[in-house]
Amino acid sequence: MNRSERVSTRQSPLQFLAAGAVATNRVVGLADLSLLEKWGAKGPGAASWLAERGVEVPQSIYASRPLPEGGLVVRVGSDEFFLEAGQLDQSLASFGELVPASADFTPVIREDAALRITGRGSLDLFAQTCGHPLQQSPMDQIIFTRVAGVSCGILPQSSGDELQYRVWFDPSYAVYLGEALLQIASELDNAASEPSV
Amino acid sequence: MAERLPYREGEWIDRTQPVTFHFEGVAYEGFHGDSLSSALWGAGLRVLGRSFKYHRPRGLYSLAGHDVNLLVEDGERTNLRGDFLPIADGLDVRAVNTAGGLKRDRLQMIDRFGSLMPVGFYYKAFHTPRSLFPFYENQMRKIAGLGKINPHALRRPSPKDYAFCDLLVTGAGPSGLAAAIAAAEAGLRVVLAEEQPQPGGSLRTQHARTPQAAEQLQELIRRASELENLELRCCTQVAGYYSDHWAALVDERRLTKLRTRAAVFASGCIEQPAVFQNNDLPGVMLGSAAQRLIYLYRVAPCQRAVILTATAEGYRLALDFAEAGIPVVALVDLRHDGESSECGRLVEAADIEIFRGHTVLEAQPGPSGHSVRGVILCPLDEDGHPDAIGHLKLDCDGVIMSVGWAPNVDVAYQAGVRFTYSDQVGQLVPKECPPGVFLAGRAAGVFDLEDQIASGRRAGLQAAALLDSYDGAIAPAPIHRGPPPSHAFPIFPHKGKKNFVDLDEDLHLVDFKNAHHEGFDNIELIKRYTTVGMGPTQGKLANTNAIRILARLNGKTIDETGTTVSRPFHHPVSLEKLAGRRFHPQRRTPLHALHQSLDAEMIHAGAWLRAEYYRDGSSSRADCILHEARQVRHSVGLIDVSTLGKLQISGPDAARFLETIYTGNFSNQPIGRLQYALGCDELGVIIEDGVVARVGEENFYVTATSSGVTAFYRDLQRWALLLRMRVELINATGHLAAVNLAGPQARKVLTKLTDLSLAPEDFRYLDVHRGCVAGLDALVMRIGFVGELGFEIHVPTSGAQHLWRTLMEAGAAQGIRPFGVEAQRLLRLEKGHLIVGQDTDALTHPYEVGLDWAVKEDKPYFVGARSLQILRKQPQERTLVGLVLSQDHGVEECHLIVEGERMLGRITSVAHRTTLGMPIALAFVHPDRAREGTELQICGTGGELISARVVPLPFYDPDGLRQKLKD
Repeated sequence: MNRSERVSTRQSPLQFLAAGAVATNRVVGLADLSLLEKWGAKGPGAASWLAERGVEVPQSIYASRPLPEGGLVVRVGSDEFFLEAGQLDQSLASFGELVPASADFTPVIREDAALRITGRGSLDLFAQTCGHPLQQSPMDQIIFTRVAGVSCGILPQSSGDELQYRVWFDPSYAVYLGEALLQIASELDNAASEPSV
Repeated sequence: MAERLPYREGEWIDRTQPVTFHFEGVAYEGFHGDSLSSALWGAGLRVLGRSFKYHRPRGLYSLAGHDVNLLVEDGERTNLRGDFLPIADGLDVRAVNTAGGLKRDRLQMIDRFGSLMPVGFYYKAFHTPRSLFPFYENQMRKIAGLGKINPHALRRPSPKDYAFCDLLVTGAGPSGLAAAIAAAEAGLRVVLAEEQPQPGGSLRTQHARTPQAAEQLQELIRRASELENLELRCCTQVAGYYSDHWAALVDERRLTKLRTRAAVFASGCIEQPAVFQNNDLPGVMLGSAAQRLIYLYRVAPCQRAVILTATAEGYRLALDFAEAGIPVVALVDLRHDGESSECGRLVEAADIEIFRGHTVLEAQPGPSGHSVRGVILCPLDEDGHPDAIGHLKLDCDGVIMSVGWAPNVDVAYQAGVRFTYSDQVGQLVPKECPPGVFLAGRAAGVFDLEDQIASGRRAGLQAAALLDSYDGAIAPAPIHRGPPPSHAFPIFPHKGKKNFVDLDEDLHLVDFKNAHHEGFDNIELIKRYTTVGMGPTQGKLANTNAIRILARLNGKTIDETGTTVSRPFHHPVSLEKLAGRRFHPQRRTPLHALHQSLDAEMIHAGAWLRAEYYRDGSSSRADCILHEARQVRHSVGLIDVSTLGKLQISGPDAARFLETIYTGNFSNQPIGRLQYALGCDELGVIIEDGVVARVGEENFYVTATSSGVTAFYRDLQRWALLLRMRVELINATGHLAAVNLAGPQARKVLTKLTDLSLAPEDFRYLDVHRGCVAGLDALVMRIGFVGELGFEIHVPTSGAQHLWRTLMEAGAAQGIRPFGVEAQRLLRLEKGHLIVGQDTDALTHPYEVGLDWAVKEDKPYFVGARSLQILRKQPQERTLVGLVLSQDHGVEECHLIVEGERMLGRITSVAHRTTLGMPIALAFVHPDRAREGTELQICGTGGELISARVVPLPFYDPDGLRQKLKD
């Protein structure tokens, strides 16, 4: 098999969430965004290289900006960037393919599991799993913390009047963390549906 | 519900919602809003529990959880406090600590032998003869203790959570509400925690009789409810306070870890009992408990009351009783000059008989000690001692004590507040508060209601000013005026020895005198010896009187006597809430589902779930493992090694950085080549090993041990910062998958799927190449951990399942089969490859395990270099050797190698069934016993001695021809 026969094999490690997301959407919604393509760059030349390709590079660490064709770029370190596509059919492969061998940064394979957490119970969900005061966190700035014991990046965003949280984490934890969050979301949902005394 | 008083504004019960519940198997009725204690008292029940040691009957006492007279269990939960337990339909509870039920408790006979069991008697009585101690211990364990844990109870998930605020206010009484409102109005985010079901504190009880109190309460609640940044949490105790302003809040469902920036403790006071004979009888209670019954639950505390007091509060209490229509037989005032304030005159006007300069010497028990039938009063001399003459007997069924208070400041103490005793207030008052911690109200020694509110407002504004939310004026701190609200020594001796100081532990006055007489004259010593304050309430009703007693015995002041240390938790917290929800992060490789479909037995390997082996029909585990291993030896096998740590290290200083971290040299490592890498700590102890692949001039790809990579990566980051090297580190462990195609047929299988040339001259042993495998971008390394021709293929996790399936299909003709962790461990053992963490321990250095060759001392510095230089010169104490065992069972990892009674070493790895046809092991032994052919004895599973012989390593393919296979 040669390079021209390369295959696409993307599968989400959080596939099992689909049904749960529907079941808990009254209080907390969990949407699987793992299949959105991701890519990273780390090194002193990463910022300028991205800027040359039309990416509006966030100036401060932890800030995020939209990508020109959808998706976002997050500055996750002084010289480190994380990119995520906005739609399933949007590819970031071109970034990786364009990096010359002489580049003074390292392209980074990113296969993070990703969630979007929405709903009025979102903060309750995080309160039970995360020691960071998310309610005080500025919008569109990524926070590195732990959720249910797993290292995660969390990006608070506003969508209209609603807050939502993008969560990225190591895909090997996807089943564990997805199940843990789904369990708590279900409990919050059940608690919300109990008649108040 | 015979004892209920008529409706009154502000009551907590909802008379439209009757509730039926069971206690000790009997059905009772109460109302929604009742606690178990109030409902039972309202139903006319007087004996609610049994005491800890003497099993004396006990009744309602504080109605605030400051006593444990009513502790119950419901079959699943135990030691539930009746004062805080709301009743509900279906509630079915029984008292703890009884033998045969509350009424007929067989252990009540212990009370008769109380005089034979003075404090500390078990220290003296039960340690000799030693042979009988197990018997004594067994009997004491049966008798001692309160509720019993039901090990079969269903686990209740408790959602432990986090919360954050600017200011935590403890106590929603008048001062707490005022503090919270002032701070919230200044813009702080405030959490106001109140352990009762509703806010108000003393405004609902002590001050409830006056209409102004109700108006003040309504106004405070209205203002608080209008503030969106003020969160009121009722039924919530501030259970503990920790460094950096972390507080533990416990409510009915959960424990909340609250991070605040400042704290106000407006936690009020705990009413203290008087000490007189039979002061524990059902019917003897604190004045504040009586007020709670009257105003919150509308239950008559008794039918005929005697009030014992030493302050104006007792007179107000008498007026409360009068308003409720409950006759007060007598008001007994410990002070000779009585009460000169307005309430004193009102009591006189109400025709309540006042006995000034008197005390209750004794409460007289009713039948079986289940109630009070009267009191004996006696006059006090000028020094406050009971006179021997002039005793007077009065009939009553309730003795209400109102002799003083102790500040409720356990948690404030934990927050760093230090206290001093104030004669003016008759209690401890704050002497020194750490930054960000404030006290208000009665907890700060302020008792006048208006002063309490002012004190709360002041504390709230102080917190706001500290947090830059307020820059206005702050009023001076109110101070207590008038006589002290607490009597200095409401403690009266009695020859009957049932004048209890600590109801939790059944300690009476003489116990303290005896302990002091035996030399326990320090507050911490007397606490340990008598166990005062060591019961479930942690001395809420006992510590103050204990300190007073000790101070008087020593002839010292309260400050000189000191207090015991207060530690979390304020009230007992159930283990389920402490544990909360358990999070055990677990990692799965992207091939997990495939392993399950192949009927793999999964095992936990650190945080990972891995395929141990693949079941094969009815074959045993051992057979399956051996079969998998033979397949690798004879043909080809495939294993998921995605758990390997996978690190990218790049940058101009990457090679130099690796040479600092590892013991080897990497600067001259050619691009496209692999090298074994050994990492040590500063002591020269092996902590990590792996393979370094040079994939570019400044780019390295490093594999690390599965379970150690997270910590190792953190170490690398730390070193990169310390060394200030130009290096980029990336932990790609979870983002890349890896499989190892191993066996003599591996080349044939892989050739079908890749554009790489696998010819031996193009892809040599320890080569690494990038290429396309099964249509995927892959990094392929030729290594031989299992001792055979092998290719380790690394791809993005999203391609892992495709890669696996494609390889299995391609290898079908060669009979490829997956092999699991156990087969891999067997194969590497045969090859003599060690596993860090299994064949090494927390002291193992390279020279002990034959890795001298991996340590390159000809470089300026690497982690552990200095230690290894020293270790190399020292005589070795042990060395890792290979053993052939004389039998294929009975030896396990960590078994000892012995010679007589001397320990010579231990087994680190063992395999009973191998592809070599003989049982083998790796073991640490003393170098004297490491010579080839040495016979050793291993202490086997059953204690039998099993012989073994030292053989050279590796056991398999000593020339390494298999892994370098060219055909």
